[in-house]
Amino acid sequence: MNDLAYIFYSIKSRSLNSSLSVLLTSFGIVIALLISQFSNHIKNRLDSDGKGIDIVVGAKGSPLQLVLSSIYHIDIPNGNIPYKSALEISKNPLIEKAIPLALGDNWKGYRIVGTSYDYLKHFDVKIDQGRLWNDDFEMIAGADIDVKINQKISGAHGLIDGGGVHDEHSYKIVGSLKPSGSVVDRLLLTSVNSVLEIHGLEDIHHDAEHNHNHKSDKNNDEHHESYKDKKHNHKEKIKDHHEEHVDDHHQDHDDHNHSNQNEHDVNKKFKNVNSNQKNFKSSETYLNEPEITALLIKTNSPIANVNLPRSINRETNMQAANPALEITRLTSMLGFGSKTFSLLSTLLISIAILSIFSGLAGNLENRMGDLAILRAIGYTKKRIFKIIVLEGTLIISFGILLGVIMSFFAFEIFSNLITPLNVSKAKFVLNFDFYFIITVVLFSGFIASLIPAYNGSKISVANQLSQNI
Amino acid sequence: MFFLVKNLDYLIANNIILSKLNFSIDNGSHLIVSGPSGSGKSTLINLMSGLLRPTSGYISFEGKDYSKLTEKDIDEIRSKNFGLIFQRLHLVKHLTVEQNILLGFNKLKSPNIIELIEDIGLTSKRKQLAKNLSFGESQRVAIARGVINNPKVIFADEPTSSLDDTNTKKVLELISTQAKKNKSSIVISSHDERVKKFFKNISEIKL
Repeated sequence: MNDLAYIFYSIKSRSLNSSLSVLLTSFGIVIALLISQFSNHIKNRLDSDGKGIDIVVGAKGSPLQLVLSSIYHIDIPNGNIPYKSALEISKNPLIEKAIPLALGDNWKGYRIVGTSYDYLKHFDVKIDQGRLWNDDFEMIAGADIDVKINQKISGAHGLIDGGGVHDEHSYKIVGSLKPSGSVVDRLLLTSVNSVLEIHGLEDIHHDAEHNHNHKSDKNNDEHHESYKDKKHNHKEKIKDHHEEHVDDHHQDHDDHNHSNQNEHDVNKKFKNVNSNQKNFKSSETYLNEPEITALLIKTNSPIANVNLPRSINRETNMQAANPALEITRLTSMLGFGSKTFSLLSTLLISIAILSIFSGLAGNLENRMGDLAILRAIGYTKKRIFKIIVLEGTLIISFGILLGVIMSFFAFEIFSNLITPLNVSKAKFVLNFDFYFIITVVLFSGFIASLIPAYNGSKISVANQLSQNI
Repeated sequence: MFFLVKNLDYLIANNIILSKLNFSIDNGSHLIVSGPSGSGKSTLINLMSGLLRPTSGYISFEGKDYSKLTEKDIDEIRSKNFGLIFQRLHLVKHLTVEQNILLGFNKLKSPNIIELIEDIGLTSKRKQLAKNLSFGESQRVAIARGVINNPKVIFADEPTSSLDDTNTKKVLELISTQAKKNKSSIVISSHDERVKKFFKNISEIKL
């Protein structure tokens, strides 16, 4: 009979004890691997979605909230900022790229984001079907969103599903994007003007009277009630104003005030903001003093990442947040939770290893007679030692194997339940942490087997056989 | 000389168990170690099979001096040359009849395992767990395990104690038959006078 067969039957004869050790090990492995896999995925998502964005400018309030809502789209924004002020900031020569974001509505929980084509360029997202938006109320959908080309959808107010529907306007889906593995997969993108027009922000007077605050539902509701009353007249005014402007624009283009060179630069930076591919200048004239939610900025100097937020925070009514800093703060806060889970998994694995130790050591008393017989019929001490160590290592290996299988399925289930940060796209990866956890557990199980193995191999055969008589 | 024992002493905590033993066994001959309970019969068997080290004296098997061998060497001699049958059998309870017999083997199948199980009359119980066997059946399994290696020496420690005449006869005939088959020497410890008549060419040492 070979040693592996002997070990198999030995484990089988202690099936309850062995199963308990296997289960404890597997539970420990499941928790450890899930923490590792999700932490890794969330870190990757935070890194990739925030890549290339050095500063976020938005309304005063929590900087973390500003970063989360504007870059990761997982929180509500602090409020809005005047478009004019955002424009002023973007004139800064230290800024390489500035992407405006106008939030406020959702469709079935997917956020509607008014932005420029630069946003797509930033995430390197390509059109899968259809085309980009060219006109107001044309929209393209991220890869995760189940819509058809030419489908009409109406946005609902607020950033989560269930807000009041903007029946007065509907968007037309004109394109869908290829999967990018980024936050864009879950967004509905349109021009800034579309979002602003829906919220009646084209009229500076209207805007001044109704300071649209997306953060407060109460304010939103009040705003919408009062906004409805004036909506009709407001729309007419916009239409007239727009037609007048377009005519002027075509007939007397040179009359536009282009005297400010900085503003001209900004126009370049904000190009494609308008759905009609009008430059920013034209949208500025058309929209008067609208509001946007945030401005995503890429600077051209690392020093600017420090100095620019300081000056914006000091000199304006807006807030500039550094995403890298805020995410570090967030992960350090989340670290407490993940440490608790890590502690729990360490505890479970320790219990599993102790159970293997106690299982082998405790059972040794009952197995002394068997081991003495093996020694008597010619098994060497080394062979007995090897058998006991292998037995412990096999139990822990079964536990690890079961744990890995369970982790894989648990990961699939949990990743589909957790929608923020697009975890559903996460894949179970065999990274360094995976191999590290398995190696540590396997090694611990091996160590736990050594003492019983040593004691088992050192038995006095003659004494043991006489004691068993 | 097959086995040579000279001036063998064995003490436990200054109590003399064996003192100045001298004897030898030639190839193909047998030895019966007789004496009352507690006289040191099992101790002598353990010393000769290398399970115990003598306090002083000389034991050699096929010219190999035990005192000059390592524990591993003695384990190897025991594994290759000796078969042990214990008074209390010591079967591994969670293994089957076949697995218990094959314990001494590293190969999964022994060429003569089927024949051996047939010899002990347990063909129908080959896959039965040892814990479910009767004492008589267990005893036959223990004998089979002792002879599976085709050993040069079969050590049997009180194999017939507490057995009636019929079962004593069965057990000793089984050991004798297997010994003849393998041309093994038998070293048997017993205080049972019935044992001697089952073996020819047997010498006796009284303790």
